Amino acid sequence: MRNDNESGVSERELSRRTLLQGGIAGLAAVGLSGAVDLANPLAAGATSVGKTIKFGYVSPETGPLAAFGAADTFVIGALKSLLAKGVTIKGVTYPIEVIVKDSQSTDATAASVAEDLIKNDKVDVILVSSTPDTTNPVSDQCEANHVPCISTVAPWQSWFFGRGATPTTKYKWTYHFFWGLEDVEAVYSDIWSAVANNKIIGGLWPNDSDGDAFASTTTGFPSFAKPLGYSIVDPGRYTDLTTDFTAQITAFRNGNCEILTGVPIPPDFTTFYKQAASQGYIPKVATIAKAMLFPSSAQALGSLAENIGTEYWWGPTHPYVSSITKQNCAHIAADYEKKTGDQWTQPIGFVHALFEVAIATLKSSGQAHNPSAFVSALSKLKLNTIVGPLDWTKGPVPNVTKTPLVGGQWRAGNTQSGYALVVVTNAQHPNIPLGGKPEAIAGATV
Amino acid sequence: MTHLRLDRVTAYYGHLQALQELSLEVDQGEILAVIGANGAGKSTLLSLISGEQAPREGRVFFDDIDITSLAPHQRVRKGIALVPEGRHLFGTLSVEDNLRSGASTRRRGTWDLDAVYELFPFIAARRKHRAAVLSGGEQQAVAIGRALMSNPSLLLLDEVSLGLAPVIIRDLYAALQRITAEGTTLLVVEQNITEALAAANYAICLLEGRVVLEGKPDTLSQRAISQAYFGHDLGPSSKAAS
Amino acid sequence: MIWLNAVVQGLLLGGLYAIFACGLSLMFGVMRLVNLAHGDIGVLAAYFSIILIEHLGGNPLWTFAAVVPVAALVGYFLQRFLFDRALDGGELSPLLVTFGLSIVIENLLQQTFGANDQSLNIGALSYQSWKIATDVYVGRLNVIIFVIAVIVIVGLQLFLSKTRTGLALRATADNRRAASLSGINPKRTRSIATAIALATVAIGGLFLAMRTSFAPTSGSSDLLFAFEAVIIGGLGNLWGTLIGGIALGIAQTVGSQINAADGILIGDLVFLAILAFRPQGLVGLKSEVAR
Repeated sequence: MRNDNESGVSERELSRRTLLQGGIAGLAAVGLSGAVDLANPLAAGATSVGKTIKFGYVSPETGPLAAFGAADTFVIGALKSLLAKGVTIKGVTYPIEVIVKDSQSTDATAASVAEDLIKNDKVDVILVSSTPDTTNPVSDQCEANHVPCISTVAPWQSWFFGRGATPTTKYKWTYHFFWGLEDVEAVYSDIWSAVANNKIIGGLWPNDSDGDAFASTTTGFPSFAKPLGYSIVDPGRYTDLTTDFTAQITAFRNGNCEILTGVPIPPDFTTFYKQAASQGYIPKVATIAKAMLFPSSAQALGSLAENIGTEYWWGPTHPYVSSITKQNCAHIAADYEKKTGDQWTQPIGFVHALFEVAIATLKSSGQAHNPSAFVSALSKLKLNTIVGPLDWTKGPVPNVTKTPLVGGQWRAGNTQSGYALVVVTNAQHPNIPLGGKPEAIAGATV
Repeated sequence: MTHLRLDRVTAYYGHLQALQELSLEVDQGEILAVIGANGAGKSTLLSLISGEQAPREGRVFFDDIDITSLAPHQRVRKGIALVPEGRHLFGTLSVEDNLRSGASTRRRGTWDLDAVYELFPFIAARRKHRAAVLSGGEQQAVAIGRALMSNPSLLLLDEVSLGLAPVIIRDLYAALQRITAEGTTLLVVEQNITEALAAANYAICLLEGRVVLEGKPDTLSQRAISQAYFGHDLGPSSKAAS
Repeated sequence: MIWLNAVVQGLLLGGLYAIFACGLSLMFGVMRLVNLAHGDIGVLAAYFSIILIEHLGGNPLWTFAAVVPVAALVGYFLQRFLFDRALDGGELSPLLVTFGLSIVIENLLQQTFGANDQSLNIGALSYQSWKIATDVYVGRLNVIIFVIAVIVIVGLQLFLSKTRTGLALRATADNRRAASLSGINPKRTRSIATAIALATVAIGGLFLAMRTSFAPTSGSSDLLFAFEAVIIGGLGNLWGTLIGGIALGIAQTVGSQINAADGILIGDLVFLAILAFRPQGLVGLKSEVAR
C-alpha cells in the first residue's frame, strides 16, 4: 500500500514550458499584493535559508473514494519543484516539504494518518481533501492538537455541522472552502426547471453521511424543493454497494418520478441506472451528485449517460487563474490530460487551490512555524485562486468560505471517455461561461 | 524374486523412534503377517511402504526399483495398495463411486466392479448407498474392494478385523485367500494374531521398532510369540492361561 | 405485482451470486481452503477483458472465450506454486496467503489502472429487457447471467458425477488421505479444482462488469455475497450453492421492498439464521442414497 509517499511525481513534472505558458497567460492581479514570486525567491531579496516547512496532505488515494484522490499525484508533482524552492518570508527562504498520506477511504484511517502527521512528522499545516469521511476526522484531529488545517471538497454543511458545530461555533485551527447544499439545490432546480416535467422527484439517497444530508427533511432537498412545488418520492436510505435496486426503481416508476436526483457512490449509480433502464424507468431529467462527477462513470453508463446532470465545481472553462503558477484552468486541465493520459476531473482545481491557500497564508502571516499567526492570517485571507475568489471574512459561517457552483450535463464528446461534462446552468455565477443548455434525457419512460 | 525390500529403514513417529534400522524382504505371492503390540511400529512400517511417510534413513525397493521418494498415489500406480486402519471410505460417496475411485490408476488386471461384487456379494446390493451408512463389515469389504480396483500386486491390510464380529472376520479372511489366489502379494498387519497367523505363510513380530521374531507361522511357538509380542517372558501363570 | 417483481429480480440476482460462489464452494470442498482473493480474481478477469477490448476491440462478450481459459490456466499454476505450499503450512497460512494475494491484486490493479470505476460496455444488451407481466420486466443480461449460472452449475455437477476427474475431486473433497491412497494425485486434483474455480469466477467477474461498474477494490463485497451464498446453500454442495445464491438474492430484493435500507441487512440475517439454526445449509445431506 502506498500511504507514505512524498508526492510520487518527479520534479521534472513542472516543466519550464508550463511556467512559461503560465506566465503568458498570467492575467496579473493574483493573490496578495506584494506576493513573492515563489519560482524565484532570490529575486524577492531572500538572504538566508530557514528550516523546512512541512505540509501534511491527506486524501483518499485508495478504496472506493479513490477517484477523488486521483488528481493528487499530478497536482503535487506539478507543484513540487516550486515548493522545494521555498517560500520567502521576511528575507528568509523556507523550503516546503509535502508529506502525503492515504486515508484509504475510511474515516478511521484518515484520523490515524492525521495523528501520525501531527505527532511523528510534526507537520506545520495539514491540507485535507475529498468527502466528509476524509475532511472531518482530519479536521477534528487538527483542532484537538492545535495544528492549522485547510480543508476542501466536502459540502460546507457536512464539514461544519457534520462535526457537531452550531452556527455560532468558532473553530480555532480548522478552515474550509467549498460550496454548500443550498448551492447544489439551486443548481439542480435550475436544471429541473429548464426541462418540462411533472415536478415529481425520485430521491436516490444512500445510508451514508451525504445521503443523510441530502435527504434531510429539515435541511436537505425535501425542505428546499417542497416549497417550490415539487413533490418527492423517497424510498428510504439504502446501503452503499447494493447489488439490486428493484425496490427503488419500482417506487420511482410507480410514483411517476420524471425527475431523478441523488447522491450515490459511482458503482451504485451504474448498477441502478442500467437496471432502471432495463425495468422500464428512465426519467426526463436527472441530477446526480457524487457518482456522476467523474468521466469514468459516464463511460460506464455508455449512451445512457447522455444528458445526466451533476454539480459542476471546477473545469477548464472556469475563468480563474492560479495565484502561484499563474496558469489558467484550461492549462491545468490540459496539462493533467497530457501528463496522465486521463480525462480531467473536478478535484484537480481544488487540490491546487489548497496549496495556493497554504502559501498565501504563510506569506501573509509573516512568520514561519507559527501556528497561531498562521490561523490568524487564514481567518482574514482574501485570495483569488484557480477555483475562484476565496474570502474567509464573509461566512456563511465562521471558518468557511464558499466557491462558485454551476450545473453540468454529460454529453457525447471527443474525449477519452467519449463523454464530456458541459456547463448548462450558471444563474448564480454568470461569469462562468455556458457550454450548452439543459436538455431532457432521450427515451424517458415516465 | 524379491517383490518388496526394505533396507535398514529408520523412521520416527513424532519425536519417538518407531522403526530402527529395519530390513525386510517379501517375495511375490507371499502372505506376510506383521504382528506386534500397540506402538511396536507396525503402522509406521505400512506408511513407509504406502508412501505416506518417508524413512529418516534407509531405502524402500519395489521390484528392485527404489521407490523411497515416491508419493502414495505414485506407488498405487506401481501396484502397492493400502487398506488403511479405520477404512477411510469416502463417506459421502456411493459404494460404487468408492470402488470406482480405486480404479483411478487405470492399472489392468482381474479386478473390476463385477469381480469385486462377486467377491463381496453383500455390497453389490448397496452400491447406490452412501458409504457412511454401511455396517462395519460392509465398509471393510468396500475398503478392500476399493484397494483391489487398482489391481495391486502388493496389498497392504492394516487391522482389517478391528471392531468386527468374528463371523465377519472369517468371511473377510476367506476373501483374502481368493485374492492371493490371483497372485497378489499380501502384507497383513494385525493385533488379532490368530487370524493373521492362520492366513499367513510367513510372519514377523515387531517390538520397539525391530524384528524380534520371524519364521513360518507353524514353526513359531506360542511362547516365543508371547515373548516377542510383549518383550518378556510372561511366566508360568500366563503360560497356563494360554 | 411489486412482490412478484422483487422475487423475480432476486432470483435473477441469485444466478450472479451462484456463479461467484460455486468456485469458492468447490475449493473449500476439495482442499478446505477459503480463498479470500476469490472476488479480486473475478475483478482481475474483468480488467483483463478491458485490456483485450482496448487492444482488439469488439463487443466484450467475445472476451469470455479468452479470459475464462486463461483464468483456468492461472488457477492451475496458482494452486501448484502458491496455494499448495500454503496448505502445507498449517491451518492459518492458506488464509494469510489468500488474504495477501487479495491485497496484492487490489494494489496492482490500483497502480496499473487507477482507482476509477470501469465497466464492460456491451451496449443496449445491458439495459434491454423483456416484459413478462404488468410492471415486471426482466433484464436480458440478467436472464442471460441466470441461464449461464444454471448451465455452469449443471455442467459442473455433471462433470463431478460422471467423469473420472470429477470422481477424483469428490473423493479428495471427502477424504484426502484415502484419495491419495486410492491412487488419486492430490496435487493435480487440487490444481484442477482451482482451475475450475478461477474459470467460474472469471465468468462471474465479466458478468458483474457488464451489469455494473467495478474498481480495484470491488472484489471484497463480491466475496462477501459469494461466501453468504455458499453458507446458505450448504458447504461443498453445488446445487446448494445455486439455491443459496437465489435465496440470498431474493432475501435482498424482498428485503429492500419492505424497507429500502434493509435489503442487504436481511440477506445478512438470512445468512446468520442459517449459520445458527441449519449450519449444514438449506441443501444439507439427509438422504441415505448418495448424490
